[in-house]
Amino acid sequence: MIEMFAAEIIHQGFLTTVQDLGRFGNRHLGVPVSGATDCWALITANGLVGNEPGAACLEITMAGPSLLFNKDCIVAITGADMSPRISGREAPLWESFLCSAGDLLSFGYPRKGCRTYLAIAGGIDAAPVMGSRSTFLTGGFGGLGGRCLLKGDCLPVKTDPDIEKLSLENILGKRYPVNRRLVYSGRIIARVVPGIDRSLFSELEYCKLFETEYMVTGQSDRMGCRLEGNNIIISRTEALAESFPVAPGSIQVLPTGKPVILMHDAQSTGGYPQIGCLITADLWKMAQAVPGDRIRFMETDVPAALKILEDKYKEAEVMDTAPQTGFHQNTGQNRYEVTISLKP
Amino acid sequence: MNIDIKFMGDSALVILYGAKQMKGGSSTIPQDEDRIQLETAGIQQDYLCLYRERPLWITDIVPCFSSIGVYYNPVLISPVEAEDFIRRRLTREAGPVPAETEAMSIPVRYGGEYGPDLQAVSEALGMTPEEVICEHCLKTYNVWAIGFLPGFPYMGSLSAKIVLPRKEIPDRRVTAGSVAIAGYQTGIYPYDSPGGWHIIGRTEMKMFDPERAEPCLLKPGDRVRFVRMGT
Repeated sequence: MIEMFAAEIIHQGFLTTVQDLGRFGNRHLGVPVSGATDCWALITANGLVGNEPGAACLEITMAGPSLLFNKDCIVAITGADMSPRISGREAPLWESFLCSAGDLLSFGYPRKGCRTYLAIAGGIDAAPVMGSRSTFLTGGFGGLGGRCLLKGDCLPVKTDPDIEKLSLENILGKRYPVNRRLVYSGRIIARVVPGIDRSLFSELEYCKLFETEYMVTGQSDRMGCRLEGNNIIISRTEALAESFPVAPGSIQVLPTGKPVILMHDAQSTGGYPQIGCLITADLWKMAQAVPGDRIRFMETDVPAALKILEDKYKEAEVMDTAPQTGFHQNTGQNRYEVTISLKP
Repeated sequence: MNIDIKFMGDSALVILYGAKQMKGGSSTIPQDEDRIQLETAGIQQDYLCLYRERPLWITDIVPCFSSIGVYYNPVLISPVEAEDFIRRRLTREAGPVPAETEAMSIPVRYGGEYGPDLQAVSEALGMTPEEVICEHCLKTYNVWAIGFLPGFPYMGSLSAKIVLPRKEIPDRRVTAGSVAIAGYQTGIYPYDSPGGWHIIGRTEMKMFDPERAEPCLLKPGDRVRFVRMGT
């Protein structure tokens, strides 16, 4: 009988969760969207292994886990470079490759960036909750038991006969073009449209948002990203008397005068004035930011934001093929190295 | 009703009602039981009108006290078209008012270990605990919004007789199922969590359970009655 699970977690790392593109349609019940905070890295990873763009992947944060593969799986790693290794050898990033049964895939710490995505052909088959496989840690649901991965967990993948039939040549060696791979520089420029509470800030105070160089603080997680800067922004009212809708990307000014950018696990409503909102295409920059990174905001408008978003969707799914790819297969005591030359 | 629509980022719109447009003061919630009831009723009707016949490009609709968030998929529609759709939908001849749904009864044990703040609340109001409980059970409440945590209902309007501001120092841990009051609102904590409302009782009903077909017990627009259980 074919074992259903793809891999076992041998070492849990810092924080690894199952995420897809999010849980929509439930924000009126206080359920946030969740989902990959760097959705572009997830979409690309899925594309590389032949999955739907929104299939569930692992979102690996700050320090990677180790996974022991239980069956042959085609996988792809995107996002931050955590020096992945496959049974001791360097594993490629932004490229599909084969993990054979018995292979150990391990990750270190990110050189740059914060989050790495691991897609497995077929997609991680955690039970959907309210239409999504994304883990929502605060609510304790989604993904694997609503929590981060722990040592001993087994990762289920969808075993669909069609996936088994996918020939290796069609998938293996699929690459995300080298010139399109994102560089996580530690200096971020994020584009912002004016917030619903723009009128609560004088011109002078509003402009401070764009004139200040902010620093990402350690109080940053899947719910929000707190920033520090030399300027304090004063709004006409410190805290609103009631809550208003918010979105991932909403920039709220706290009573301290410091901004916080809401992320995918934030509540659906919030009570602090919203000075601006990051454009959807740029949210990944906060997902990949680590404490100490510098950020500057640049003002844009909604039509421009949507043009950038459209391009981003196209860009995430552009693929080419490596001239050659290889894998190894463990059969009993023997280990075979296979190299395939691929047509351009 | 007089509305203003603003873009929130590139994938959402916020419909703002009356007071919020001129906000700038510290409080936009009218400090009067009947006015709150009247104004939230209009917003609720708009919310239900949008929610019940929502097109595919709308992903989420989130009602608040004086606003509604409409989240859309920008791949499927432009923001201008989305705004136009909402304006047309909300300004068309108001159809028949949907029949009021039957109120859900929520059994509550008041006071003692279940409602650790009941004593302090009654002292602050100059009432007996008994009177506070009666006042809380007397009305049928509307679920105005759900937020803070999955399944936390903001309900109102509370009788003006038992209105108190939130606690100055929030509790670090409130037990799941706790029934609480603050301002003109009453709510129920779905999870063990920190909280700044006054805890007057507790229910055994699960406000949120991801294993249920309908994980959330209540939704915006529902009506609720609290039924006192023997302690």
